[in-house]
Parts: sequence; C-alpha cells; structure tokens
Amino acid sequence: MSSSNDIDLNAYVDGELTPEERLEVLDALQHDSELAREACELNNLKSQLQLAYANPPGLSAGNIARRGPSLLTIAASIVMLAVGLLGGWLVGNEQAPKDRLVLLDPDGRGQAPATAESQETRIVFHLTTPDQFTAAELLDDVEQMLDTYKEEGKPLRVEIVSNGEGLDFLRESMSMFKDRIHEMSQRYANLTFVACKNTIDRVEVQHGVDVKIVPDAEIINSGVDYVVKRQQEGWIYIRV
Amino acid sequence: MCERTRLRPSHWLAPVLFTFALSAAAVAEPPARVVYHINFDDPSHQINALHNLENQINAADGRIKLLVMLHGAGLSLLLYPEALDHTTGMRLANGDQEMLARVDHLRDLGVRFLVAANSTRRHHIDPFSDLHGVDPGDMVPSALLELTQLQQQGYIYIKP
Amino acid sequence: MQERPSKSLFEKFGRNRRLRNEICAQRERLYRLAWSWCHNQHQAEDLVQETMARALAKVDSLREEARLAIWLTRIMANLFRDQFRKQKEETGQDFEPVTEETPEEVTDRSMLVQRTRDAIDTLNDDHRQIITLVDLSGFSYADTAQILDVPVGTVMSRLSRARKRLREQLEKAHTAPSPVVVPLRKPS
Repeated sequence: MSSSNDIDLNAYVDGELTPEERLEVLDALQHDSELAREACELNNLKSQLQLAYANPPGLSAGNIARRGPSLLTIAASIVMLAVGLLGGWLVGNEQAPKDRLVLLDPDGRGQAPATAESQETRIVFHLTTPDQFTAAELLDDVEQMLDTYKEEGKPLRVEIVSNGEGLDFLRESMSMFKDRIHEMSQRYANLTFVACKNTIDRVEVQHGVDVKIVPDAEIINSGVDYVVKRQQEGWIYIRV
Repeated sequence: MCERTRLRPSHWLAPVLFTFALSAAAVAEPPARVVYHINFDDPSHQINALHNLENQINAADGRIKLLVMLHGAGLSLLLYPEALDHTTGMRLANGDQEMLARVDHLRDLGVRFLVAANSTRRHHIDPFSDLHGVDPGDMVPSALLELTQLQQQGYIYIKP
Repeated sequence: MQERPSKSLFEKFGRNRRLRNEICAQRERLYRLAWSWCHNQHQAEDLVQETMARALAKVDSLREEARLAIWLTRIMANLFRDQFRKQKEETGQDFEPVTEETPEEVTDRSMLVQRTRDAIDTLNDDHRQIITLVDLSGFSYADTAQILDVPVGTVMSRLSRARKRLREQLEKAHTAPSPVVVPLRKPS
C-alpha cells in the first residue's frame, strides 16, 4: 500500500496539487533532504520514461519508412471516391505533405516520398555541463554559425537549452557569460536561450536559494522533455 | 466476442492501392552513418566511448561509416602528454600508448577522427605535431557546424 | 420561440471532416502510447488502426471537441483491455520486445532506453498503462481517471505503486554508465 506521503509527492511532481498544497510540500522538502531526493528521483523517472519512448520502432525516421494515413481512412476514401466526395479525406494529418499516399510493398510497408520540409536549419544545443570552457566554446561556435548563415542567406534557428549542471550558465548570480548572452540575444533574433524549470526547482530546494534566471532566457518545464520534443519536430540535436 | 482476424492490408488492399498512389520514391538502404561527439576529457569515459564504437562496428558487420568529432576537452584523446605544457586551457592529455593503440586500431577499421580547427586554435594546439595521426583531411573548421552538417546529411548523432 | 432547425448536412459534414482530420493527426501520439503498452510493432499498429476506425465511425458521438484526445485514448484503452489483452491470453504470447529492428536501430538505442523499456515490460498492464498515460501522454489525473474509467483516488494510488515498482526494477538492472544515443528524425 502506498502511504499518503508517497501519493502527495507523486502529485507534487505531476503538478496536480493546489498552490497551497504545493507550498506545503515545498516546505516539507526543504526540511527533509531525503524527501527532496525522492522528488528528484521521481522527476528523473518521468524524464527517463519520456526518453525511452521518444522513438519507438515503427515511428523512427530513416530506417522503417512511415506508413501513410491509416489504411482504413484510405479504404474509406476509396468509397468516398466512388461517391464523388473526395474532400479532405486524403490529407489525414495536417502536418503531412500533400501527397501522402504511398505505394505499399507486399509487406504492407510504405515507401514514403522524400518530404519537402522547410529549408530552415533548426538546431537545439543541450548544455548539461558546468564547464566554463565548454560554454565559452559553445557561444563562440554558435556565434560563428549565426554569422556565417546570415552571410550566406541561409535561414537558421538556434536554441540553447540549459538543464541539470548546465543551468548555472543562465543564472543571474552564477553565470560568467551574462553580458555575452545579453548581447547575443539582442543581436540575433533567431537565437533563444532556454532554462529548465525542473532544474530550477531542484536547485532551489536542495540549496535553499532563490534562483534568478537571466531576463533574456525563456523558461520551460522540463529540459529533457523539451529537447526530445524538438527532435521529434525534426530539429538537429547537439549535446555539449 | 467473436474471434477477429487481424487486418493485414497487404492481403487485399495493396493491389487496389497501387493504382491509388500519388507519389513514391524508392528508398535505398545505405550502410549506417554515425558520428560520435566527444568533447570531454575523462579518460575512462573516452575509453568507454571507443569500446562502444568498436561494438557498433562489429554489430554492423562492417556496413557502417563512423566518424568521431573531437573538439574542446575531447582533443585530449589524441594529445601527446609531452605537448600538454604549451597548450592553453587543456586539463588533460590522454594520448598515451594504450589510448593511441586503441585509436589506431579503430582507424584500421575505417573510423575517422575529425578535429576542429576552432578548438586547436583556441587551445594553442598544433594538430599535426601535438595530436596523434591527424591528416589535413581530418580538420574541419568548427565542430558544431560539422555536427550540424553531418546530421543534415543523415548521419546519426551519438553523444557518449 | 421556434425550435432551432437541425444542422444542415453541409455543416455536419464540415464538423465531421474537421474532427476526422484531427483524429488522424493524433495517430503518432496514439502509436507511441500503444507501443508502450504492447512493446510490439504490429500489435501497436493494429491497436491504433482499430482505435481510429472506431473513432472515425462514431465521430458523431463526440460531444466536446476539446476532449478529443481523452475520448480517443479512452477508446484505445478499452480496446486494449477487451481485445488485445485477451489476445495475449489466448495465444499465450509474451509481450517480449520484438526485434524487427534493423541493426542500426538496435545499436542506436542507448542502454538506458533499453533498460527503461525492459523495466516497463515487467509491470502488469494496469501499472504500465497508468504510468504511460500520465508520463508519456501527459494526461492529468482527472483525465486519466476518465480514460480508464476509475476514480481519481485509484489513479493516484495505482500510479504511486507503479512508479515504486518501476524504480525497484530499474535498480535491479544496475549497469555501468551508458552513452546517451540520440536517434534522429529524418533530416530535411
């Protein structure tokens, strides 16, 4: 049987508590490092799970080609064709390119056509280390890329996501790169810095401090979740 | 509830759908192309990565094209210990006999170790005398740029 | 006051068409969830197909469009319980992860991912479903309760137990630190 403590902690991690309840748990976490560790581990478990199913077979790109719209919608659309009401039945998925119907080989697998996706290069950098040299090099290389792409007229979008040990990079009180981050944010509209709320919360609880993130950065809930989502959307991923 | 046969489209739908297809492109099955990204200097972490590399080659039975992108602290993998003193900002030089033997073995298996010029410049490393076995053809201007371009070309990205 | 005339055929057709498009747009999310339940590509595909077929057939019965995802997932959860679990019993088939994958896919997957999937595999269906509904699909406790047709209290206690089990499993399978392997989406 689960104790009510366990359930509360789970509910806290899942964002299911009322603000008052949340404050109570936060308070308890600050006085109980064991509990704080529990909360941390629950969080990690969530991320681990999301990562484990980010790319199940049958969905991952490159090797096994995607099937087109559900075969039943295709079957149905054959019927509709007969009735003369083709309408919107052929485009099942709004995100899919227009000509999504594919030749099926005898195994029932589709051979998807090369998609004409947007020409914009989109890269998400994942900063998970506190090492200053790595951060400095990252900024240098990113800046160089931004300039090069701009010169060559190639659209580029860059996001730098800080989480885990990489969060200090975006902390007001800790970052050695505040000015540079600010300057680059101003200069490049296609560059965004992103901080992970889960990490912020964790640091606040474990060190009993108030974490202030530099104003140029956006804050999202879970860094890991976010980079996984970006990859699913087709972004290039580089972890430093 | 009655037994249901699973819907296996190939049995009856495929012939119909051949006439229905609007577009198709044959997808060739090239050998896998993978790039390992190494920017850390912990020697056991590096050795672990090289192990995984070799495992991957064996698993793919040679039908694989493997690149290793070294930059930042990752340059330590090929850095001769004697050279460490005149570099800047490098914590470790892991290019001892054992490490380099592994590297050469992997090179024999067809692995290429790429080195970023931005990094060597920043750390005052001469890639052709301070690093082991680097050819001009192994140099790329920027690691991050290279990793981006490789992924755009379909390389699978691995960060050990 | 006059009674409102019934919706014209065109209006109804428009709404249904829009809903059908949205249902099809959910395919990938459904598949990811289905695969986490079945750990078998063919079964997951079949589960999703049947779910969508049912949903498309009874799209009229969906009252609140905003609850589409929940409605769809509920259909899938019911199907899983009624047909796919039953199939497992009947064929005596174990839900072992099927290696239909290419060598590239197998080596791509990090050991951490595999360990996690294996651990999920050891959970019973109830636990596996509840953990994936909350963590993978991101449904709230209330929505999850609706999908599984159980009280919210059950969701909470079951989830807590499921996560405990999962952690125990993961701790059992202790291994050395493994690389993070990130398979890519199709490049542009």
